[in-house]
Amino acid sequence: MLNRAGWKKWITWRSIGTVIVFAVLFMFLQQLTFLLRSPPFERTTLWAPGALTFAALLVVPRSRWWEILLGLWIGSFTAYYDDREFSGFATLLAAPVHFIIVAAGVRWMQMFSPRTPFSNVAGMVAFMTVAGVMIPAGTAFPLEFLNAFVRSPLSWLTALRSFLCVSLGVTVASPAFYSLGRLCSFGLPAIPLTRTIEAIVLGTGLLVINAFVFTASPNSNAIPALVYAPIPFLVWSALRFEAVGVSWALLSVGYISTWNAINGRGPFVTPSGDDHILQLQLFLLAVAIPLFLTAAATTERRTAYNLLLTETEERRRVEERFRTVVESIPAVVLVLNQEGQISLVNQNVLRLLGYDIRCDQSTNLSELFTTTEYREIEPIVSGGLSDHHKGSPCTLEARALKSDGTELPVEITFVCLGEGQHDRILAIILDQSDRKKAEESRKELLHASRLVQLSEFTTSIAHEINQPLAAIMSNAETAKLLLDRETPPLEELRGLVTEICNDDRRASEVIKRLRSLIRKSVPRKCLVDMNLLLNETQRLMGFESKRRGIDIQVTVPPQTSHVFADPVHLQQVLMNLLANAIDAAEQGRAEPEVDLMLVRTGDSVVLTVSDTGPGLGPGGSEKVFTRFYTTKPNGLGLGLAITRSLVEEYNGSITSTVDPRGRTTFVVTLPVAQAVPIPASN
Amino acid sequence: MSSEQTIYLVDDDDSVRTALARLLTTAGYHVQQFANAAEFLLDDLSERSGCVVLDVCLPGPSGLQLQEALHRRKCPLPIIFLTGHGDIPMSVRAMKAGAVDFLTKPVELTDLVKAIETGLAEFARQREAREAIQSVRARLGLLSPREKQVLELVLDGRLNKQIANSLQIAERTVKAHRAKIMQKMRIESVAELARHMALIEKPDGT
Repeated sequence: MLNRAGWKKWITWRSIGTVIVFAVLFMFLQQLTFLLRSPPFERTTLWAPGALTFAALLVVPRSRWWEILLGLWIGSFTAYYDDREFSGFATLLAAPVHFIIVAAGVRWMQMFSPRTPFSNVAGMVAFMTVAGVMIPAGTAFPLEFLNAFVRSPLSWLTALRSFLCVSLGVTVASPAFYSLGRLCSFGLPAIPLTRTIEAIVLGTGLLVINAFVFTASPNSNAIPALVYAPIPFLVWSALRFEAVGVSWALLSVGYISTWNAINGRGPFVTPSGDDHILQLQLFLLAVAIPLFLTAAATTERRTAYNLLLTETEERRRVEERFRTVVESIPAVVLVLNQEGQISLVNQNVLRLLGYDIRCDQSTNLSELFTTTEYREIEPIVSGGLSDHHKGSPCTLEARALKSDGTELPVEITFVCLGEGQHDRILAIILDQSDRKKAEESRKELLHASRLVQLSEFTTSIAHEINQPLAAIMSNAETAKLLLDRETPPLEELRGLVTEICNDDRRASEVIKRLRSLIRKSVPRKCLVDMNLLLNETQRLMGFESKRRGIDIQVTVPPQTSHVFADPVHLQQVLMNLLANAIDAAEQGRAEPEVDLMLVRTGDSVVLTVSDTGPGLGPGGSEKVFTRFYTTKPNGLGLGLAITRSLVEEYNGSITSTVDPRGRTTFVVTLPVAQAVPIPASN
Repeated sequence: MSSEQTIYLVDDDDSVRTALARLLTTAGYHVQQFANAAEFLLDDLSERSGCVVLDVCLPGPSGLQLQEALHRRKCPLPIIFLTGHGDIPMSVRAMKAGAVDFLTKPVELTDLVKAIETGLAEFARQREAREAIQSVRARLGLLSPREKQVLELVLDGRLNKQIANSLQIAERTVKAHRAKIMQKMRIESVAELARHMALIEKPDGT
């Protein structure tokens, strides 16, 4: 049940207005149509009110269709109620049938052109089926049938003429009325002046031609083919103004020609007659079909063309945006084909490498590198990043050749754009000189930290070297004493010399061990025997720990493990951890201890250095590895940061913990080199 | 140099110790080797004579700790330190504790011999002194309690008459005691007696 408010929602002043306007328009059109009634059937030639219903249902939303039905009822009843041909009662019953059939037709047509009616060929075919056959059949026949009950008996010929007039009326006038409806709903669209002038010229031409052709008096010299004279204008309207234009043009031709024919004028040989009316009706219908189809096809093409224009514009904008992005990347960005021809490049090529490359000059990528360097890059480019790089970027380091002849260390990343034989490749060239410099300074720092570390062990080192030197000196002095004898004991002397050689070798070994730590050498990876490394480092640091009264306990597994790394780096890691442990243990409890343990677990070796020192302080476990954090009074805070960077360089990890017993433990985990039986060549 | 004197060499480095031992043997010394402090302390120390050549850095107790231990046991052996790398605090500590010398490896033979000779001379001098004290003590032991009383009063510088007075004996008896003391102590004069007694009353507190 609808309450008062519900009714108010449905019946507004606007609805009432729509009903009245529609009814008045319908009635007016009906009266206009009555002018075209001709004997002997007394049926009109072009029934435009049907088109009004059709156009109204197209424009008005479905929720308000009842307004149209009401208007239709009132309008048709008012128009017919004292008509000489139709009984008002019959029209009262026929109007809803007409409405239903038109509504069904509109719904069906909208299935083919859902957005805008008359805008595509399929929708147009549907429209012509609906307007030309369905609506006339559903409108003319029920009306004639009902009328037959009330008035004169049913005549099939009259019914056929009725059918024809509805068919012609709805087909020709619907688009025109639809355009009027749109005008009422949405207002006048902005039309360019040239188009307005064209429309005026077309309309005037059409009226002039119509007046010239259809107002002539019939005589024996008349040329019936003059009926075709308006066709150029009709075609013009179809091509330039599409369905709406055709509709208006046909409406003008239809009204003028039939009205004149009824009144005995036209390009006919015989005086006026019903034949002429029928001929004109059929002529108009026959012309309407191709014209409307042409109009729909034109609309279709115009829409497609506009879409294309929009897309082209969008694409141009996307390309512009891409260009801006490419220019803003702080690297040289290139797009090339598999021959290395550059098709796109950003301005960084000028800034970074000094080349002024225009894309239309077909510059080749090889010009940016020396011949030897390009030999490495060329297969990647020509292979379209080859199979294993497909989809994933491929990065390599190279030296680019600048325009001034100098070289620049760069990193190039190649990305394959698209698939297929004519792949284009995106190349991104990054300046690596800063990174190289950073790498250099890191190496310097590493070396410096090694020297600092060594300087802390000068006592230890001096001891290590002085021991064999002391033995050599003693043996040499003994030899001197023996040689002073009258008969020097040769066997004893030989023994002494052998001893001297042994001790000399021992001293040189110590020096050799040290030299690798002091030397600033390029990192040289090899298989490092971890047991050997532990023992050697412990020996190097043994005196230092002994001097400070700290015992280093070394535990190594019976089976040695190898790690693929630079032995100097690993020794530095170990020395750093041991030196820290010794320093800490010294400050700790009464019986200072340092444990050095090596354990193999699966694919990694775990090196543990623990001490009985005072621990790392609050939050120290995390902080110790950051740069410039130190707990020592004279520490720089670099040791453990460097240690960690070294361990991570070999895909290892380092952590620190302080256990409840107060032992500080550093755990270094390094991946074991996979079963390579080659001994370390250091 | 006396043949019964021995050089006690303590160094943990085998090759250094062996080489030094060989050198000193060749130079004519009697040498005994020890690899660490404990080994050195195992034997009866009083039986030893000569001097110790000691490496500062030893496994277990260090050279300096061994020096302290010997000092506590009143071992009279002079010590010469050897070190691979000595710093000043270390050498000061050693010298204050009575070391003969503090030498850095590698050591020249002449330096080592000089130090050893100093050490041996020191040991000989100390032994002579010790022997003198022992003979004085032995002779003192021969005195009767009355004679010891008289001796103390004599050393105090009292006259015979005063001694007789304080002991309530005749002056003649005092003279007889004095003669006996001179005879038993095998000395000629009171001055000589005073010198001998001064020996045994030296710092050691005996």
